[in-house]
Amino acid sequence: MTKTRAKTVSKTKGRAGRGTLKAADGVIAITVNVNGRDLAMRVTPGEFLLDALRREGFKGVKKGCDNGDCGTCTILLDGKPALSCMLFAAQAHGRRVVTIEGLGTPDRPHPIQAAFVEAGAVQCGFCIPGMVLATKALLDEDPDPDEGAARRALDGNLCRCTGYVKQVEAVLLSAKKVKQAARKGGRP
Amino acid sequence: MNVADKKDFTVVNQRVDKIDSLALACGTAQFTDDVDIRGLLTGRLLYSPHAHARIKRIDTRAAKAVPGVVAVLTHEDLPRVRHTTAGQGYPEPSPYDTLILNDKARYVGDRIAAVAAETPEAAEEALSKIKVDYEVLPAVFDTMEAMKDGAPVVHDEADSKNIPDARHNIAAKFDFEVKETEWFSEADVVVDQWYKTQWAQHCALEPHVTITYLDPEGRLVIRTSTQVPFHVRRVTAQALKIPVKSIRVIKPRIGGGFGSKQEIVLEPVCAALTLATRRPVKIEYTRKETFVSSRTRHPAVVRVKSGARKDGTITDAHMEIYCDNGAYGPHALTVMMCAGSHTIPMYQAKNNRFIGRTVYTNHPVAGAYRGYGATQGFFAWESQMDIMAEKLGMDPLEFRRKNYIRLNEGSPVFKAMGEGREGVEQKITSCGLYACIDRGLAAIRWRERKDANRGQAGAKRRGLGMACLMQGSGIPEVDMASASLKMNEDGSFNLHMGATDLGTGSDTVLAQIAAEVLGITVKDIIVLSSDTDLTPFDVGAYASSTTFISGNAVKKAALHAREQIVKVAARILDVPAEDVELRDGKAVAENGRSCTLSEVANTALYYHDQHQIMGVASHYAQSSPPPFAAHFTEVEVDTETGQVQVLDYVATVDCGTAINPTLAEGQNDGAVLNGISYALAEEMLFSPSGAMVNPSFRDYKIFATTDTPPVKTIIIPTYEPNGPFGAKSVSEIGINGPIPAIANAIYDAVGVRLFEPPFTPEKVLKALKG
Amino acid sequence: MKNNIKQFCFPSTAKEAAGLMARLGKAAVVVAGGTRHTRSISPAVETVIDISDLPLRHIKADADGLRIGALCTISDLEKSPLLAKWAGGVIAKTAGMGSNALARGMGTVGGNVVRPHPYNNLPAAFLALDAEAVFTDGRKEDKLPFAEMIAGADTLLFGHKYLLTELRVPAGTRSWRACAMRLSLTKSSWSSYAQVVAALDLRGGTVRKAAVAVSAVLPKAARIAAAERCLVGRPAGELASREAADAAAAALSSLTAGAESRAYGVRMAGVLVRRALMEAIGS
Repeated sequence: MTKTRAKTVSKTKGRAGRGTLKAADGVIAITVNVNGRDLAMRVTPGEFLLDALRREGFKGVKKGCDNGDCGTCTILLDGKPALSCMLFAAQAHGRRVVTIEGLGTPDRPHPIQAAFVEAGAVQCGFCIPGMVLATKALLDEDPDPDEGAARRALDGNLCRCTGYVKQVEAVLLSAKKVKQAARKGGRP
Repeated sequence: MNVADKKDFTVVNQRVDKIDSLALACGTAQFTDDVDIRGLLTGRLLYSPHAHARIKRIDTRAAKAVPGVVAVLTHEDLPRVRHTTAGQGYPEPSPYDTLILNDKARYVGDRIAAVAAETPEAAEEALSKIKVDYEVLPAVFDTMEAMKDGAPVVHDEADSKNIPDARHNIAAKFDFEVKETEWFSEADVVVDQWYKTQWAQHCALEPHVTITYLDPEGRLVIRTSTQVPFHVRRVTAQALKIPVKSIRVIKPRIGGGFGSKQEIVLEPVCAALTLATRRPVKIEYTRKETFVSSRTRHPAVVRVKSGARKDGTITDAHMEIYCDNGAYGPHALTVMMCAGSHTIPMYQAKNNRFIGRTVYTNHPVAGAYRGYGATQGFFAWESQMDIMAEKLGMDPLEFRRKNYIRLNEGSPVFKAMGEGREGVEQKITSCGLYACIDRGLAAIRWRERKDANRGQAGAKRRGLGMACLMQGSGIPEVDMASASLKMNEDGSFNLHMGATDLGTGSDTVLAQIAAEVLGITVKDIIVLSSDTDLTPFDVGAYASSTTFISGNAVKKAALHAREQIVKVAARILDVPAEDVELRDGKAVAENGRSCTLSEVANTALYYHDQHQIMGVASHYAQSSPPPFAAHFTEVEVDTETGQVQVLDYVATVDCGTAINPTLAEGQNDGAVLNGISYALAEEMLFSPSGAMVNPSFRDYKIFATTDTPPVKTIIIPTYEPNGPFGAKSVSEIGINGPIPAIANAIYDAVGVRLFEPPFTPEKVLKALKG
Repeated sequence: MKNNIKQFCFPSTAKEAAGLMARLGKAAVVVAGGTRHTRSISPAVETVIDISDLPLRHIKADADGLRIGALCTISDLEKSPLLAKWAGGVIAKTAGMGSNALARGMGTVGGNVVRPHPYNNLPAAFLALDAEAVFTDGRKEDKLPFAEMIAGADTLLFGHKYLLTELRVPAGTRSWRACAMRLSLTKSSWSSYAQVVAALDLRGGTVRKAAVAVSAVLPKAARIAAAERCLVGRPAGELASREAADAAAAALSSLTAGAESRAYGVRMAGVLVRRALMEAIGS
């Protein structure tokens, strides 16, 4: 269901009707495709996607400001970076969400995650899940970004530890690693 | 060669991957809030809307009646123990002037009551139903006004301790003078100048967060985002009047601190809610609370009056500093003293004087912040150096080179000014400043750019500026660290230490030190830091101490384990112990025979003279060897708008041996950018009634990737004989350079000197237009 | 903040969405990109109308000019090859100025223009290019000059009673010389001290039409007629640009009643007007 739905998200066509979601006893039942699996969630109407995802165990989605200003809660929504603290959970109904957990795991990291480690871009690491996902979205659009494009793609993800020096390097290294992985027939 | 003094490193000084970075990059590493705890209550705090008000009455009945509310606490429900929230060695040199919940509000954001409820909504509703009857008092917001007779007295209570002059709002004072001649009698040039730095917040991306619960035996467990787990345990015990042994503090992954988490802010109040409800409670600050009600940097008013002879010899160094601590006094004495103790010894003068005051006002509370006073002090001193050089007609670089402290030199300041008490006499045992300056000049192409900028025309003008810096490496004869290393059957080791990795990479750096001694890689070291039940004591992560002090403790613990390993191996290999060395995960004898560490461990655990091989050691230092740095920048000033753009920034740093060059560079890059952002953009702004008006990242701007100029860190290797494998500190020094370097560059570009950061376009234009 | 939301509607046509808005009035709120008001929903709101499924994410040109769907994100504009060539790329450039990639990727054109806010960059660009706003109340489609939409008496009805569906930019503006500039504390700052869009229709070095739009200094973006008058019919050059800049600063100064806190922004708007004009002329 979600795969076909995703394809309907285009610049000219609307998404097929998601209709109306009504709260019953203060709870709304939604279905969100998280990291490739359809997940039925019961959320309160005023609940934000960030809180709902964390409650479901996706703790890699971080709460740094809860006001759309820091980027630590970044997820991919239908493939594009989005601030999960600014979206009601119910708004994600019928859409595709990717969190950091959906990208790779320590035993099988995504090339971008490996690049952030190798570049020494991880200090406290609180901003890193958001940065990694912002990088993923950038490379999906532009597999060969220059430094300026890397900086522009990450300018909503604040970091206080690194001065961004090694993180910008990590984005450029990610591009190389993603291409290498693609040549080897691995994951994109 | 003795392994302790080796310089041909295999693990140390290598770019080893940070050991927790993969889990962090995959989102699996656990920060304080990344656990699910059944029955967790939400804790929230009620804050004063007034800058200064006495609480006449608090009525919590309606709040307690809100469905889902489990506890509502006010000062009446808690022990009245004045303490300091500063996470410092005991006895702390900060005044005991704070209660967990206050009976008098001293700033907009001071905490008045605490609520625990089943849901965040119920907690919020309860807060809105607490009725507080305030008697509003006149407030004082100006640092200098606060010291005058008749100013509102912020701390008029009788039971606070260690406030030198509460009636004049003086939270700390320190005066010192050493002189060889009459003041300014030998000076041909005298410069007397005032400087002023602004309120700023640390902006760690993870807000302050604490979870408290009772373990099955009823002991209090505090899971918290802290730099100082052992101080948290001690201060919470003190404030709640419960035994230290009834508390366990667990430090998971920490999302940055920069000093803000060297402060016991949330732990006692969260613990009080757990003790009141017997339930797990979480208090997580919002970003706004983090700005207003955690801690900030002490703003400072600084006067430097200095003299020099025509030949460029500095004769006199007189420094006055007035720090604003806000409503309470954490780090009141020590931040103020570090503003002088890290700066005055930088250049050798015959006459030295320091006058320091830290005052209370009705502002949010200042505390430890990366740089710790030296940032404020170096802005003044390194601006002053350029002003003096110009008056002398000297190149500012030559002027600095002529005067800076050299290898084997001491300073009367080291002995006179410690952190909150007398210091320790010391001489400089490593100094790479000469090379720092040389390499930095070359990297930024100083001469070439100076030439290119000559005769500029047009609205945009470029200029170059620099600054020289130092800091300390821990607090000598105060800071203590310890570690244990336990050997396992497979030749791996558990490294347990109180040293607190708050995102700095110290777990990795310390594992590298142990691995170097034991001839293994960091992959064979399982690091645990920090848990007050499981790891030995460490004062925590502050004062640039971890690599230098905790690193020495780890090195000693590893040497202790090594001794035991060698003894067992010698028996296995049937050679004298002196003939055994450890390398590549093996014990190797001079005759070429070898056995694996796993064999050694199994022999000790199961076969012969059975015992646990375990190294344990503590370390405290007799000196605090300064790291040195030289920063260089080129800026462009738009003379029509006042906008300053940093075009390039080069920061060279001598941190002795960089145990992990990648992490050392990362520390310095981050400190430098924090400094640049502070120099140009960051400032907490207040309404006339004392409320912070910009408590969000939208309105309090910290630099993002697109705002950031090219920053280049260059590590200048030296070897510090008192450090582990030659290491000194690196974490703080970098933040001290950007304000003066940029101020000097602006002057070079447009001939206008700025004395009050942040150098916003509006301020710069005003200065340009006179 | 406590809210009283009870349901979410996901209309799939503009007609359906506007119908819901009309029916529910103040008990409903429209959410598109969600970069601003999801965090400050009024307690009166019981229905969230999420319009992100509407087919309003197009950027195209026809004989009448440009059509930009209200649900285009700010980054869609920033990255559009068509907009990059329209009036010196001034819409794309304006879209790329300020805040950050995440906000630009989520925020929509509609959200940026229907509520005047000093953060919003796009109104100045659409004002300068004489845009029209197309909207519907659920029964019929209508259009209005963009200037009237943001400054007229009905401005508050947009997003409540009227659903903005499209912005149209006249075909004639395609070849205009235009330039957008803003001055802010840092590049990624949300707010600006001043923002300016200058657009010129030149014929043989003479200004035929001129547009000078300013925002950030004022509560809402506005065209500065006094500055435009200094330009029309004169040779495009430094002299006219300087006079226009001075006229703009004078006009803004009186519009802000000389408020001390705005004085710097007003002065900077003058600087930016001159620079934007010079750059537009030179482009």
